[in-house]
Amino acid sequence: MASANDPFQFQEFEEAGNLLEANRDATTISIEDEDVKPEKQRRAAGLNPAAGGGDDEDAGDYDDKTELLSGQQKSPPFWTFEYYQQFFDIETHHVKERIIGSVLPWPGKNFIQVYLRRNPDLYGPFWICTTLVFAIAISGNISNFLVHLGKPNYKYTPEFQKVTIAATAIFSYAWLVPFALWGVLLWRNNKTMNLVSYSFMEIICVYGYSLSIYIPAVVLWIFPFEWLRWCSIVVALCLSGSVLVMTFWPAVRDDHPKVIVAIMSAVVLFNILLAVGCKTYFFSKPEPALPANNSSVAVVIKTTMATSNGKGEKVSKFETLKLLEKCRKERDDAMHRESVLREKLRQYETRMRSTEGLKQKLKTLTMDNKELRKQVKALRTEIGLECSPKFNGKTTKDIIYDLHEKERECTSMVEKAGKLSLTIDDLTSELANTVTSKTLLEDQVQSLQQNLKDMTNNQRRLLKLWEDKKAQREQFALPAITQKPGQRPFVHKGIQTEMSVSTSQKLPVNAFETKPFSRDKDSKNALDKHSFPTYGNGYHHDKKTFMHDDAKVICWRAAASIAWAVLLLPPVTAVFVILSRFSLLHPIHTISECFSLLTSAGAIFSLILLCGVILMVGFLNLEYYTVIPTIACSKIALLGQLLHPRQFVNSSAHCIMGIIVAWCCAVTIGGRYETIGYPCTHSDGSTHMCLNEYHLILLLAGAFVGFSHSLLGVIHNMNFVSFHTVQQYKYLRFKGSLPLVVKCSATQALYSVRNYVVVYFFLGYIPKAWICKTLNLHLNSSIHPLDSIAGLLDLSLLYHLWISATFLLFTWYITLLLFRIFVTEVYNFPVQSSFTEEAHQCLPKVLTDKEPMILKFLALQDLALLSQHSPSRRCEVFSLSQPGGHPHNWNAISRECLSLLADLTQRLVAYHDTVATNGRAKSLSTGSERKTSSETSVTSGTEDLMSPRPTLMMKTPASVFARSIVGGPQSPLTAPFTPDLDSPFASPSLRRLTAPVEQCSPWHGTVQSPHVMRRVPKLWSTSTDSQANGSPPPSPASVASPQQQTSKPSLLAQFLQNRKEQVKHFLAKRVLIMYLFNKLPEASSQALFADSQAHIWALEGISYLIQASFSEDQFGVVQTALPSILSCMLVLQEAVDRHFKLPHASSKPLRSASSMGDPTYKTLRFALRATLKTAIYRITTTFGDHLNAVQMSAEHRKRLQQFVEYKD
Amino acid sequence: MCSLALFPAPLPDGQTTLCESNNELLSGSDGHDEVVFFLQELSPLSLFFPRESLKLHSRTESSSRAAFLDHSETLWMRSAAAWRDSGLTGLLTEITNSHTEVPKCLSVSSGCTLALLQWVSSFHGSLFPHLTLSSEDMIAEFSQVLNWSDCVVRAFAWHPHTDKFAVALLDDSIKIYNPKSATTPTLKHRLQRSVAAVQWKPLCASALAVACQNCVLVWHVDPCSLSTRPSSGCAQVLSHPGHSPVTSIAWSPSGSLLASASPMDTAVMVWDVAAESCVPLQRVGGGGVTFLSWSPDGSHVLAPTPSALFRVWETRMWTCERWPCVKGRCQSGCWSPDGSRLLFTVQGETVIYALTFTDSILYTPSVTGFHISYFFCVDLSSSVGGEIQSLAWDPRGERLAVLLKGDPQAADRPAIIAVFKTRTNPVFELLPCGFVQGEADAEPRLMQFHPSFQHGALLTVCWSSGRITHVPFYFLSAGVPHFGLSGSPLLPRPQERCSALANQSLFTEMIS
Repeated sequence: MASANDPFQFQEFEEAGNLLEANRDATTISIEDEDVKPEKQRRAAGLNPAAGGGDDEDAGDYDDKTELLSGQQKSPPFWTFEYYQQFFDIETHHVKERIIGSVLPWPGKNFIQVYLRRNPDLYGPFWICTTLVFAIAISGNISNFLVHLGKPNYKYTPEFQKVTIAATAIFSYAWLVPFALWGVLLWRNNKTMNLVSYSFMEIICVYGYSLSIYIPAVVLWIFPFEWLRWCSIVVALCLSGSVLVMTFWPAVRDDHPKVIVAIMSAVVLFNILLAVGCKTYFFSKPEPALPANNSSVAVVIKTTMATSNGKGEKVSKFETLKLLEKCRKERDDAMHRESVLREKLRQYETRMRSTEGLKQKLKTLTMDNKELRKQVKALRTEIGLECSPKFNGKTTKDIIYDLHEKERECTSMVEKAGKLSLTIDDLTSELANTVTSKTLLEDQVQSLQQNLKDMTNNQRRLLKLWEDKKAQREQFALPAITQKPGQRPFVHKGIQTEMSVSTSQKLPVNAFETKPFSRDKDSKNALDKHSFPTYGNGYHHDKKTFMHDDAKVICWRAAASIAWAVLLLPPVTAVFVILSRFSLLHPIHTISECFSLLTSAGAIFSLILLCGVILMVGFLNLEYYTVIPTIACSKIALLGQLLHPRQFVNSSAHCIMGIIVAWCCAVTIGGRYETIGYPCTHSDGSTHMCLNEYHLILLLAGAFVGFSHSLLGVIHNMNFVSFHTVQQYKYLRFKGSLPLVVKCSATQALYSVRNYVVVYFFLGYIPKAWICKTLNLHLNSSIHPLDSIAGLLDLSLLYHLWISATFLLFTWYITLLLFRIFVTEVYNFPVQSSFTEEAHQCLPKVLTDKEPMILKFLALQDLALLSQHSPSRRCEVFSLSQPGGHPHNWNAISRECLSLLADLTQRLVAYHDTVATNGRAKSLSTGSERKTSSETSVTSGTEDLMSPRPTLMMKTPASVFARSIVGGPQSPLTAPFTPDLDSPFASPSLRRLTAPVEQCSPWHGTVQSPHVMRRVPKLWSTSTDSQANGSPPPSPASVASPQQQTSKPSLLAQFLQNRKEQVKHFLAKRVLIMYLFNKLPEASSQALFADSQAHIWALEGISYLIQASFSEDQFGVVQTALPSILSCMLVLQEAVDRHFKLPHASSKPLRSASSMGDPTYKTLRFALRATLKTAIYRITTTFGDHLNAVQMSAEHRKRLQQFVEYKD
Repeated sequence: MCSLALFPAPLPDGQTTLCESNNELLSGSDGHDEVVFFLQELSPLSLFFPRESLKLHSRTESSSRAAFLDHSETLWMRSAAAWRDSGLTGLLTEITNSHTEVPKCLSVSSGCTLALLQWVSSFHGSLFPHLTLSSEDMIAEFSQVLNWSDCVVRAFAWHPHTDKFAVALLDDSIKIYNPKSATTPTLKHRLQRSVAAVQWKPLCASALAVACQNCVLVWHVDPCSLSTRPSSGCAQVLSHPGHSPVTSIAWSPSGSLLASASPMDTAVMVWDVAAESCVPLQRVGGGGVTFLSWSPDGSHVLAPTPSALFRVWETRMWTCERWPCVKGRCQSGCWSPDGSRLLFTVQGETVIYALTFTDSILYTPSVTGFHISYFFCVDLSSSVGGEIQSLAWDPRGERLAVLLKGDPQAADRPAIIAVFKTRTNPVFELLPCGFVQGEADAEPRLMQFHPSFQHGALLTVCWSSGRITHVPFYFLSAGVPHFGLSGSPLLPRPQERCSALANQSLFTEMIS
């Protein structure tokens, strides 16, 4: 049964037979000899089961039975023939199954457990090995022949040694490695308890079957292509290796990981060794003329083996003749050797004889020597050496002995010297110890001195406080001084300092200014060399040029980010090309095609186009970015942002860029997307240029994605650049956010394509018709139009649309990401510089500048970091100016921070008032609007005089929407439809009326005025004493309050108010309108805190500085500002607390993970609250009970006490 | 380089260590009146949680589906349910199991995918054996608490500035004790399971971070509030996919950032708690992060991994330095108060290692080099003790407490706390102080120093019996100058270090 339907084995045998016939050589004899036996065995084995298991059972039943029986069968001892016979007892289909199983490793299917089932065979392994041996040898020969085919002076000689070597290698691999493995497994099994253990035969069987994949691989090696060989090697290696690894995995799974790795790597390594070794040996550069004698020796050995085995009956006559020849040769050799030996013997004899002669000579010489000695003795006595005292009884030997003695003494002396030096060492070490103890003592002394210093410091502080008190008492006596008009509202306690600052203000404008000289030529230093901007009126002119210089830093950073984005473009494009053209059926073909495509001229052209697009995107990023997000408080405001002309420009730019990118995509994808027109034949036979709708759909998709990208950018505030709380290097940050970018672009592309497909389905005919008309193209009626369900449900089309959109968004997002990373990198501003030309780049100066906003933010960030991390730079902050001794740095920094905080407080208070009065304050606000507008001109006029503190404006040049919607400078607070303007209806009508007035006056003045002014007494009522004491709030508005309170709503305003109420009432009934105008919850709160990152840094910086001042401030410069800082923080704390009690203020925004828009601005208010508390706690824990000495109002003290006791 | 043999012998059974005074540890039977009087001040802080008093919840594992009758649903319903319950694996299993209803190719391909997934996961598990543990086992393995799964008090945290503390109990509730107020708020949350660590936010009165099984919770417990059960609205949930179970958390000393670590996640998460956003600091290698310790000066973070490797992060630019250990994983570590010295222990060894950092003081973002030396410090192999479970250094840098695991097999080697006297200035020195013992049959499980004890150091120990006791060490700090009247200790002052003790120095750093 088995032999009859076993074509596989038969074929194999035939193959071997062919080989034998082809190479009529001696080698075959032995092989054939071995061949016969298994063949017989196999036949026997094939018959055997039929006898044992019953004839008529089909394969499946039989299979089960053997499985059952195999456990019970009593196996004969292994040295018997029967023992091995059972391993050849196997069915054909089993062999087939096993071979297939070994070729196709199935995860989870253990080869041994699934296919062998405790019934290993040797049949398969043996024949697979044999086949492999011959396959290797034959294909090696053939390939060698093919390589040299056609060469003129090449004569093919079969290399039979390949067979033997292959046999040795493969059989030793298939038997010795399993043996070793079996031993190792046995050993490990004793060490650790494994559930799975394999017998030796199973292991051999697995190894044998695992080789089967090599047979086709080896046949493939015939073809003289190196890459094909390596590919097939890799595939075969993977398959057979995985079979082996998966098989032995359960056996070692519970072992120590190192052992697992060792065993598995050994298994794989041997496998690789075999495959690669075979390939390199049998299929490498052929050595055409292998020495013939080599083979003959092999032959002889084979023959001798054959004869000794007693199987010489098949040895041909030629062989015996050859043997005879060999014997004869050997005999000749032996005779030759004999003669040589004889010659040698003769030589020895002659040598013996000469030795005898030498001995004789020696004897005579000793005799002579004796005589000579006697003569010497006689001579000594004659000379008288014997009687001289020095040499008395001393021979030369004795003298030498004396010398030795002396030497020994010397060495002992040296040893003693060594010991002495050792003791010296000990002493020095002791000395060192004492020195260290001395330093220890000195340390203690130093610490005591430090204590002393501290005490004196305290004393000094007390003295100062006492002085302050005194000064205050004086102020009480002369209250008029503080309220001098034109005086800065800031009155510091450091009277000396204050005086000096105010005197500097009064200096003529150009007192400190040097002439700006042209320096356009040396552009290497971007920000430097300007006239020292003094505290004066020459400030504005100065600021302009200065801003120009500083903006360069940002420009450089943006340029660097764009450069990186351009550098990243080629790899991204390569990935896109591979992904877009990949086909599963021809992977290698695809890759080679892609590479050839990437190096083509068209690809390079499109790459240049893409670079242009990236440059454009980078430029738009730089143009549109902002550090303060614009938050739309209602749907209509959002709509307004979307419909704004600047936004229109932005969107159309993105559309065009999207089309360009899509065109590049179409070219690189190629195929049906490549061109817009193609020649087609009409039904009437004429050829026209027809419209390629695939190209069109891709281009339009690009435009659509670009457009939606720019719209989403507005909605998600994608132009908002946020600063990270955790500082990281640029590369690490980029690496960290790369996966997010990939995810974002993929999902965003998916949504965009979905929307696009819907849009195209309904409106696709419009662009199609338009294009056809303008380009004079025809529509091919024989092809389905794409704007139908059938046309759009093309998976490959959808895939290409999606991948192109992803590519587009990815490159843009990468550019955006790099821009954000580069722009927000920490910038180190010098705290103070020794050169006046560089003074304007110093931290205090940059802090007080208003524009550009990003520089202010960078300066604040640097302030927060330096105050936290850098003692040396803190030291500079606390230092006094060299001539004069004024703490300019500290004053400027603290003043700026305080004004920021005070500004936020005012905003919060104003907002709270508006909410609390629930719009009833409106009449007051509208009424006072016109009044205050005139008045703010006064305020703003005096402002420059009054203080160099910046106004409340937080404005970026780049915050386009904000700027252009209103057309005037404004804070995020005052953006249209923002919270403080309680009703959006107020704006259109009112603005028209008040526009001429408003435009010339800064809008902020009107806003801060009424509420703040009414609020001020309330807020500061408890702290009037502190105000009197010289720590008034740094608000210019509070100074101007009495005049404004007198203003009353006019008639016109009342009329307007009434009209507005009517309109509002009318409109409120329309649902859609209400939907548009209703405020988004929480948005107003977000808008209030939109620029809070600056406040957070200001709080952090100032609190860390105060903390550090406890131990580092040598001159007590911080002390003077402490009360005002504390009160400012406490007031802000109160305002923030109150704000968080409003509805929606404390509700958390939803977290949306997959968007490139940075949502941090939504949570800034929480961060601010936490930072504020931490800052106050930082000061209270540092100063502790010392705070009792700080002057402040009773209410504030009470509040602070809560912090001291950790009750807030 | 000596051992615990130099220590005074442990007390006989039944005697408890009361406090340290005059350079010696006083035990309960000695009867020092002034000590007893002084200790009464601490007595309201001592607590006892008998195991019986806790209502443990029954362990309902993964699914209660078995309790319900089988009900025939369509394949899609079942697939959706499987997807919802157990993700991709569940879906594939469901499809493979219902091979009668789906096309053959689908079931076969899902079976293949499933097998491939299992194969990959088993391979991954063989690389990092700890990944195969269940999350409870993992917390127990990597927690600083000895025998965490069986411990009544699972975590303990002193408030950094006041006398209140939080205790996490076996029933997953957290109680907050404040000697100044009568209310003890109990915090419970749906997500608050298997609490591995709690920590109060520095420079804040109310925020308490809790490391739970699946997330980090940040409770805001108003100290003035009278409610005993703050609602779960007071808790912020910080979670990140793949970041569970959280075994360790650490606030930055400035209170601005919170770091959390999970043995399953190779990234350390640095949270901006207010914004609920996190920055993952990803480094491959090690297979996870087991423990975090922020140096008191805020400049470094110790982050050991489950393999023989630990990292020290520098917090300015968040770069890290790898330190491969010789033998096992780094079990525990603590920083000296000035942040210049790191002591750590390695699993499988009874040795404390020290790592000294010299930091460049200038704030320049480009400078990152910081380590200088790494030396073998103290060998604790002796007749008592065993491997080291955790280390604690008091905030003044004068006492170092070492919790030794003991030998579970040997009855005479129970877990014990050894206390060293330490000096960091001018040279680093370790001197023996003594053993801290509790009642008979009570093993120490967890210990922590009070962060702002005025008269020396106060070691809080949680015992296996459920008791929490406090052991004060009264001494005059050499390094910290003490101010005026309020800071002076009431107890008799310790005499000068006697010469006999000084000679017994366990370890002295070489002056180089």
